[in-house]
Order: sequence, then structure tokens, then C-alpha cells
Amino acid sequence: MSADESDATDSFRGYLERLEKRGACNRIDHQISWNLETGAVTMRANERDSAIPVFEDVSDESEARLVGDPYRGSRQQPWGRVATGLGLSDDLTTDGFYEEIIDRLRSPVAPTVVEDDAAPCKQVVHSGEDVDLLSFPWPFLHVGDGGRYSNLHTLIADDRDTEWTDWSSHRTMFHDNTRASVLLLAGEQTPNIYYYKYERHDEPMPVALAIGAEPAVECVSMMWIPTGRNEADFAGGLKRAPVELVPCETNDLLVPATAEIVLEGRILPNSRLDEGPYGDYFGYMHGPRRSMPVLEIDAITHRDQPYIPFTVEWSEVGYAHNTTSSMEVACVGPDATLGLRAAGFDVEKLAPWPFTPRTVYVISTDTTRPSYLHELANFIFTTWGMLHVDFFVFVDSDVDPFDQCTVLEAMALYADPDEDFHQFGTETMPKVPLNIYQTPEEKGDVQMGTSKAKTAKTYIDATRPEGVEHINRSESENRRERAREILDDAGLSAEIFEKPSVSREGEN
Amino acid sequence: MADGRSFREGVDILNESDDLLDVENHVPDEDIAAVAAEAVRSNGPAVRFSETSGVVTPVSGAFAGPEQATQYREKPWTRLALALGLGTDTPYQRVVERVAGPLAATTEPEETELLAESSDADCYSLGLPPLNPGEPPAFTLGVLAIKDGDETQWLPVRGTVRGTNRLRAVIPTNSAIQPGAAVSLCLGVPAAALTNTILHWLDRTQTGSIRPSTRSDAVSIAKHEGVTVPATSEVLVTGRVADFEVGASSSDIKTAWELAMDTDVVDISVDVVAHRDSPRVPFVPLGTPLTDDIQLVGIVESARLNYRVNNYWGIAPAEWIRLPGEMGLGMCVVASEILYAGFEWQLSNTLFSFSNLFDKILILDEDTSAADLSRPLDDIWVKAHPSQDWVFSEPSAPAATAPKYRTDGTPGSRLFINATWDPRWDEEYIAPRVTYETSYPEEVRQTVSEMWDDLGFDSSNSS
Repeated sequence: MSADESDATDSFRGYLERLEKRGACNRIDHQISWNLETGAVTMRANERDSAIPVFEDVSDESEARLVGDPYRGSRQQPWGRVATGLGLSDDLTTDGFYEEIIDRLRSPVAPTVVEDDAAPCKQVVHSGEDVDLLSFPWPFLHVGDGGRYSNLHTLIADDRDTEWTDWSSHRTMFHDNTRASVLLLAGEQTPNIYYYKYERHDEPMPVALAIGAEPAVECVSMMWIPTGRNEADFAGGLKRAPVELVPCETNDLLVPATAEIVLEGRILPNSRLDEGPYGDYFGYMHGPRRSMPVLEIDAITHRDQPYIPFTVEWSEVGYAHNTTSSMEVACVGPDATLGLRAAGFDVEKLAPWPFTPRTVYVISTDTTRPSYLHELANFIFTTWGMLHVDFFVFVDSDVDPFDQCTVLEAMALYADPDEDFHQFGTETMPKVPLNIYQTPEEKGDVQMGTSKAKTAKTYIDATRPEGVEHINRSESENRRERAREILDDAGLSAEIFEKPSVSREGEN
Repeated sequence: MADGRSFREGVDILNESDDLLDVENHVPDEDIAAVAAEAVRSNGPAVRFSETSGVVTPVSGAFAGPEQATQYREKPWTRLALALGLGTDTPYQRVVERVAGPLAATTEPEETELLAESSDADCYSLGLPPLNPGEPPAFTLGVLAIKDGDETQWLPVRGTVRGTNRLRAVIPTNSAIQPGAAVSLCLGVPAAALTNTILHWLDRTQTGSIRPSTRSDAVSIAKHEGVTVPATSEVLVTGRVADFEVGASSSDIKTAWELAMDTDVVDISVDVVAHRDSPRVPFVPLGTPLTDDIQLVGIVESARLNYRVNNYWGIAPAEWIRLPGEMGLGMCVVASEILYAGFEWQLSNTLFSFSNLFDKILILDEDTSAADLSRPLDDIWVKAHPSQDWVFSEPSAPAATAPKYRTDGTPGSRLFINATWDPRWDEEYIAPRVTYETSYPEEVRQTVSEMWDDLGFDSSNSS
């Protein structure tokens, strides 16, 4: 890795250039329409683990460009592209990547504020009558979607009552030249600020959508940064340098200066527009169509020929990855691991389930006594964003939670239906309506993005029963190494031994 | 006659299919298990050890495909399909139907000439590898043919060499074995001989039925020292029962079929060793996940359950049943039509009553593919309501035998997870699945397909 590549990139287009140098992105000059075609190409590229598609020409009416699932990693290394963006080595193990991210998050770096002329996102400014959302080629991603979306961006909002600025990610569906609906699900930080502070005071919430921000910004928008702490500081920690911010044109918010596009506006109180349906992250097109808060756009600033990154949801269900699932591994995994350790839990690692994001997590832990697991699971379930998640699976610390075979085996062979499945049937917990197991009546009219009916938040203790040894053969590392050499000499590619993650200490 | 392959032919087909690694350098006997285990762990091909100290050529992974937790292109049942005389693209259900053949109909085997010839080899000079350094040579996947009056009974068997002319074998309890009975250990038998024998004993020990025959037209037979054996057996070690301990438990690592039944231990005094030229024998690095024995038992038990369930109500509601090796046989996955509200309870309890291996069942909608393990591993979390569709029985059900808890047989709960659409739901409640096909019209897919190479997605920029 060259010296400059060991630094985090300062911009999204810098990140694309880095991918290009590595032959990992594919600039497509053919005109590919934003209307389903870019989504179809991206989904295919995701399934085939092909290069990241950069669509240079998507419309006769716009110079903006689209980038399909720019942070999608491979099945073996889902965090690989995020590592590239942050200047980390490709040679890291998953454990090494986790510890590096955790280390960086422990050392936040405050942002700096730059003048407009030093902010590329101000190269073109539209405000007032000039605002025209539909002049941009927002992608239409699945046939059944309710509209065209921006779904890979950072939503920036100030807390109404404190100095805290929250950065988060909430998909946004465009309705006309100035209006969009934003998926705000109560229980998450920004939605709580909106529903329980601004809207209760009948005030609009000033917001900005930073689209195509630098990788570190994108990462922290996906993380569970504690309430009251500014994501901007942690983005600085991730890149080991300050993030440059610039003031908005029409409100007091600060936005990442190198973002490709910034939408400035207000989320209006007591005003709703339809949002969805949408081909969602769990693999189904679910209903009913929801009413979600209205975003009124006041200004649009952007770079010349801006890039609009997007993710094709659903394509992460199954064996393929997309940006959502890769960032779950790269961002949520280490961040949540750090958060649990900081809260005093003896957690080795938290890993998202690879076949369906945001619904189940696997946690390896040294301490396995029942009261501890109860406390751990329910501590997590109370945190923001947990209205999506219904399940935790606990495994022993010598089980790699990314090793699917071992996790499945542990669930089947160690988790006793008699005593290791907890809180199933206890229908007392909240749930977002982004699910397919509740009926439309149970979901209700979801005015604040939570279902009318409750659900169960559960956990499975798949740690070994007392006195039971590790299931698998116990082989010394020397013996395994000799075995690999024999196979290698016989012509078996050495790459086959490069399993995605972590050492398996339990087998040594 | 069914187009069954001999073990040797099956290995040759694996080789032709580029799914066999030939280890031509000499490998010490004590390293073979570790090499075989490493190949399994890395989702590698079958491995043939051509240069070993003894007579036999051990082959590991001859019946075990790769796991599907990290990939979907290679199917876990393909090697077995090839060994049974089917093609590389044979769908799962076709393999299952072939394996369940003896339950559906009795067919007669052809009697042919025995291919193995008597040799000077003894139990040690055969060169069977040990499971671990310092342990005795082991046979891990074979058939024991025992004389029972005028008949011969076939049993699944594994065991070790205990002397130049002595074997110790683990076999199912309640066999016809008697002290002094003539027996022949058959190694390198056709896959159909193994599946037929395991099918018989799984069904017999769990339902009491002796209906599925261990013989079928897929396995030609021959007489050898008064015992009927598979005619193409690579190695035959023949002798008499020297010592027989009813219900003796073996403390070493078990094969998967032992999870489903009680076992006896028998010592065999060996009189004759016969083998074919360069005999190939299957070797399983027991204790490693996803080995031959686990995949074999998973498929055979699935075939048995598929037959039983679909012949239980006078209709055939189950589309497919799998005991994925990835779940160590502790969980059954079934895709079925849900005939009416509550049918999922009947289906689950029928499966529990037919098999004692597992105490967890995942039920999927009938249109779910058997070929894609990722779909069950999505639907289990997103389709099944955690407070309504994870259904636990009273804690008085018999203990399952594959799991590692309640191994003393203490009763407990069973669990079934209903990840199907509720038949009482209105059609509009049913969320359509998102797929490439449903997300994009035909013309868009056609355009993408035609332009793909022109778009620059070739191997040079595939990352």
C-alpha cells in the first residue's frame, strides 16, 4: 500500500479513484437508465461480486452520475471496501479490522469548519425557485417500489434542546421538485428528536442530506454512536484527521464539505406523505404503504457532475453482499462490540447474520451464565435502532461468530429448547413496521413508524452446555499446517484455506 | 436395473468431474486423517491418497459435498448423486427419491462374480489409516455382512484393527449377530449399498419397520465364504464373531448413524482378506463437521422422512425435507404446503415421531427451493413471528440424539418454527419476495444480459 493509500480518503470521488486504481470499480460509459437499469446492473454485480459499477451516463437531462453499492465487499471480506476507504490494509483479519476500528473510535477527532470556497459541495448552489429535486437522476430500484429514492446518505439534524448534532441514515423517497418523504422510525435517535421534540412543539426540524460524503462520514452514519455524542467527532477518529464541514445556505447546520450533493431543508411537523413500498433489506416487498414525515427542500448544493451512490436493497439477502450488509459488518459490528465492552460486558465480538441484515446478531462471549446473557440481551434491546432487531444468538468466545457452519451447529446442537430459548412468546416489546410477520392491522397506520402491535425480543443461548467439549476434532496447528502443505503440494489452491475470518482457537 | 456405480466408478467420476484431488506423494498413515479433515474444513474436493504404507488407497469426501453456509454453487448432494449413478446437476429431490427407493419398492439384486480376490494381506498390512496418531488403524464407513441362517444381514459398521487377524467393530443393536457367526467386513462398497443399509437401520430402529431391504437392483451381489456381499466390494475381511458385547458403548468419536441407534461392539477373528487391485476404501476423519457420514445420514434420514410423511395422510404435502449437515443433524428443515391452520403442528409432530435425531424443525413455504440454504436462514428470522411462530412443546418430549444436551435421555421440549404464510391470512397480507426476476421486467433483464460484457464486467475487473 502506498503512503497516501494508508490515509483515509477525504471524499467519495477520492474513494472511487482509489477503487479504480485497484481495478475494483467499473466506469460504464454506455448510457444506463436510472429507471431500473442501474438497479438491475448493480444487483447483478452484487450477486457476481463484480467490480463496483460507476454509471457515468444515466440521463440526457442530467450530468449527475450514479454509483451502485460502492461499499459492497466480498463474502470473504465484507469490510474490505470500507477498509480501502479508511486507508486500512487488505491483509487484516476480521479480528484485526474490528480492533482497528474500535481503536480509532476510541480516539475521536473534532471536525474543522471551512469557508464556502474551500468546500467542493458548494460548486453549484440552487435555492428558492431554482430548487428542482427531479432534475437529478435518483434511481428507481425495484419494479414495486413506491418511488425513486436516495438511500445512501447522511441525514444531519440538530437536537432541538442541546448542542448535539446527530448524523444518521434514513431512506428518502422523492415526490416532486421540492418534497420527499423520509422513513423516520420512532426509537431511533433522529426520529425521536423529530417526533418527540420538534413535532410536539409544532416546529419544523432543519435537516441536511449529505449524499456521497466521504467514507468515514458514511460509516458513522450507520453506527450506533451514543446519544449526545457527535458523529462528526467519530468520523474524524475513523479517518484519523478532522472532517471538514461547511455551513449550509439556508439553516445553521454544518455539512461535510466534500459531499457530492447536499439537500438542505426542513422536516415539517404534522405533515405526512406516502413512503414505500420498497424492496426491503429482508428480501420481501412489504406493505402497507406508510405515511411518513415530509421533507421540504430549501436548497441544493453540489459538486460538478456529482456522483449519487445508492444501494440495491434485497441483494444482500442470501449469499451476496451490498453496501447495507457490508457496512453492517464493517461499521455496526465493531461499533456495537465497542459499545458493549464500554458498558462492561465481556463481549468478544458481535457479528451481523450474513443472510439477512438488521434482524439477528451473533455475539461471542466468555461469560455465559444465564443472568449475564439475560442482562446483555436486554441491555442491547433497549438501545436505539433495536426496534429492527428481534434476535441475538450467543456463542462461546472460541466460536467465531462469522463462521456460519460453527454457529449453525452450535444453534442446532447446543441450544436446548427446554432452557436456552428466551423471551419467545413474550409479546411485550416494540417493533418497526418493516417486517412481514405482522398483519397490516397489527402494524396499524404507523404514524410514527412503530407497529401498533408488540412483538418478542428474543435471545438464544447457543453456548456449550456445561461439561461438553468443543464439537470438532482437536488438531494441533502444526498438524493442520502440515496437512495444508500436503494438499497444497497436491495442487489444491492455497486460497481455499483463506477462510473469511479469524483463527479458531477452540480447535487448536 | 438401476444404474448404480461401484465405489471405484464413483471415485473415477469425481475425478472426471474435477472434484477429486489426487495426493500422489507419500503420506504417512497418521497424517491422512488430518489431511482429510483439512480438505473438508476448507470446502475442498474429495481426496485420494495414492501413496500410503499399505494395500488400500483411502479416499475421503467421496460422498460429502461442500457446505452451503458460505456458498451455493456446489451442492452437498452432488457427490452422492454421482456415486449413485446420477448426474452432476441432479436436483436434491431426485437424489432423495433414489435413496428412498427400497422403501417404495423392493427390487432384486443381480448376482454376479466377485471382483475381489484372496490375498496375503492381513488387517495391518491393509494400511487402513488411524483417526489420530498413535491410535489403531480404522475403518470408518463400511458394511458388515453377517450370516443369519440361509440369509445374510447387512449392517452399517465402523471400527478398528486390533491385531493382525482381529477387528473390533461397532454395529447396530438387535442385529442377527451371534458368537461364531460368519461375517465379512465389506469396504469400498457401492454408495447404494451404504444408503440402503443405513436406510434400513434408521427406519428399523426408529419405527420398528424392517420393510426397506438392504438389497436392491442398484447393488450387484456375490457369495463370498458363504456370506452375501456387494460384488464390487474393494476389500473383504472375512472371519467369525469372536466376542460379542451387547449394548457396549464405545467412548471414541462416533459416526453419524450411531446417533440414531444403540450399538453393540463385536470382535472379529479374521480368516481371509480379499481385495481388488489397488483397492479404494472410503475414509472419514470422524469428528470433523460435514464429513461423508454426516452428509450420508442427513440425506438418507431426509429420504426416509420424505417417504414416510408423504405416505402418511394419503397426500404428499412435503415438497422436500433436509437435515443439513451444517446443522449437525440437530435440525430438520421441511418445505411443505400448509393444508389448513394447525397443519404445521401435525407436520412437525409427525416428523418428530418418525425420527429421534433432532428436536428442532423449521417449516418453510412449499415454493422454497431445496437447493439454497440461505433462504431458510433468512426466512427463519424474518417470516416466523418470534412470539407466535416459535412453538415449544411441553417439556416432556423424548430427548433428541444428535444434540449435545440432555444426553442422559432426560425429557424436554421440542421446538418447531413456522416460517410459512398463515393460510388464514388474506392474500394482500402476503409480502411478495423480491428477486431479480420480480424486480426487473424481462426487457431490462435482457438488456443487462446482452450488454454485460460490453459494460466491462469481465474477469479483469471482477474483484
